[in-house]
Amino acid sequence: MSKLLNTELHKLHDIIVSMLVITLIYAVIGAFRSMSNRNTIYLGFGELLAIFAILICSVTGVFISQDFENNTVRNKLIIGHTRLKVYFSYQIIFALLALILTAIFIAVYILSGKIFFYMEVFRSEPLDTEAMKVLKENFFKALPVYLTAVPAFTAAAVFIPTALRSVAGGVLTVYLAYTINSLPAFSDFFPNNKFIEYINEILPSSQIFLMEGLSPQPDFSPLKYIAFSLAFAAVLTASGYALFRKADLK
Amino acid sequence: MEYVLKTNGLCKQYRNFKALNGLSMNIPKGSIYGFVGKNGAGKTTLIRLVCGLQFPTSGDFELYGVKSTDSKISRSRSRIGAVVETPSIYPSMTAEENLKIQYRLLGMPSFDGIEELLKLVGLENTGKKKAKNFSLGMKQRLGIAIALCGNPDLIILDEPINGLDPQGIIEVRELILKLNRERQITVLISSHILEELSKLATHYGFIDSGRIVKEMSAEELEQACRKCIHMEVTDTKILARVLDGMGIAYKILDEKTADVYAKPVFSRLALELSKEGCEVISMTEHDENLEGFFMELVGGARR
Repeated sequence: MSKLLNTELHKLHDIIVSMLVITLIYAVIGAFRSMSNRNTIYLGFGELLAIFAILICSVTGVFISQDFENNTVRNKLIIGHTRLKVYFSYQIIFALLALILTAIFIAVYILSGKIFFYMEVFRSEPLDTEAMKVLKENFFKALPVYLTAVPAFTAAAVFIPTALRSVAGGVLTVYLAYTINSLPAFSDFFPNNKFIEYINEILPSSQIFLMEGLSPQPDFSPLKYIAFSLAFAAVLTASGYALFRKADLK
Repeated sequence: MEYVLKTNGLCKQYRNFKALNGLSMNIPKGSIYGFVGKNGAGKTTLIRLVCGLQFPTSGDFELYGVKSTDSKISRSRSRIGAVVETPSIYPSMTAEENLKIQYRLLGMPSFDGIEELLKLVGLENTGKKKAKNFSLGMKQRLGIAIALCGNPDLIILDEPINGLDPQGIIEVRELILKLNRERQITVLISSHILEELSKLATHYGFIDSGRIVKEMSAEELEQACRKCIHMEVTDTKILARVLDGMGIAYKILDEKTADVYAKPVFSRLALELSKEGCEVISMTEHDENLEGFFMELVGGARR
């Protein structure tokens, strides 16, 4: 497994550097946007993180689908790497990459927000102290969920290209990442619909939006969301591997 | 004889189509095994099974004595290198970078040997040129170089000369011969270009409709394709005695037929046979090449 991880890391070198630069720029721009809207970084973060998750999933999907499109996945199997190791090397690398980049994104976002705040760049009317306190509390309570949700979402981005085993897998991952990220909007069209609420709690991409807000969330349990995210990742990983294990490759 | 690969009744079925239908073959160690068959005969399917890209519907194979059903088969596979149909390369990387990736996959401690490999396949001067800009022949040679990373004992080449120009064909042929002679690498090479295979192979496996129709060594094939006069006489015992007397090589096929491997003076031969009370019924010139032999085999199998 270490050989595969080492190889994937080297192959991803340029992509990691580019992603890092994009993350830094996006975090600063994101903080700028949030501050310019309401003079706080604790509102509007969910939307930014959801777009960030789409970006990571797109990179994951395209990278893996290219391995199948160029048939380079053969080179791993021919020399004796098992399918289990091949699948999990993808999963581990991209989940870790997502985790690290999300952590960097959040850190730079908060830091940039603080700098903008002290520089008094924005003169808009700040929210009242009580609202600020709730927003900040919700934001930091949700941090562990944010850090789990994005890596968990990559399980879908690994599943799709390995199931389709062609460039279509990459395209579909990008499309589905966007579509799934739009699901929370359904709760606006169907308020109090239990099924949609339930789906939104399970999907890591939707969880990102649930915790943000101006109202206190006394019954909010980060552990529940984290458990849902991990279960989501586990089910998709197990299904993805089951499909890949017996698949006929070209 | 020691075999690197033995298959036992391998079957592979895709819905209603049987790509392999009980295929059994043996590849001797150190040989260049020419795998001959028409398009769709099952050559690539067998190669995919051996390489672990697909799984047999039934039957199994042994690679270096390890059964395909054994979990240790992965370790045996680390001794092989293969180019299946098209070379598996990273188009946006240079030849050297492609080899480095393969070295990392193999867990090689250093990149020593990459330069030598590039030289061996004639890609040492490609520099920063990306693989996507390579000619078909260069891509094919890069695929072979990737297959050679980690010094495999067996390399599997599926139609390696497809799409190559005459110069490329000669280069690939010489490379395969060099690998076999200098590094004692066993080579399984599939092709439907029989003329080319006949310049390389030490052993042959003829495949048709997912089955091995015949396995033979190059010597046996040469014998079978040797230019001769096919004679039908009333008594081959007399024919043998007369030909011995004339110092002519021959092979008795049955009581009435024989192959004579020279052009004797027929009037004298007929006279001698007549004196012994043996009549010549027919004489036909037999000049078969590998292609003719293959067609006869495949046709025979179909009947």
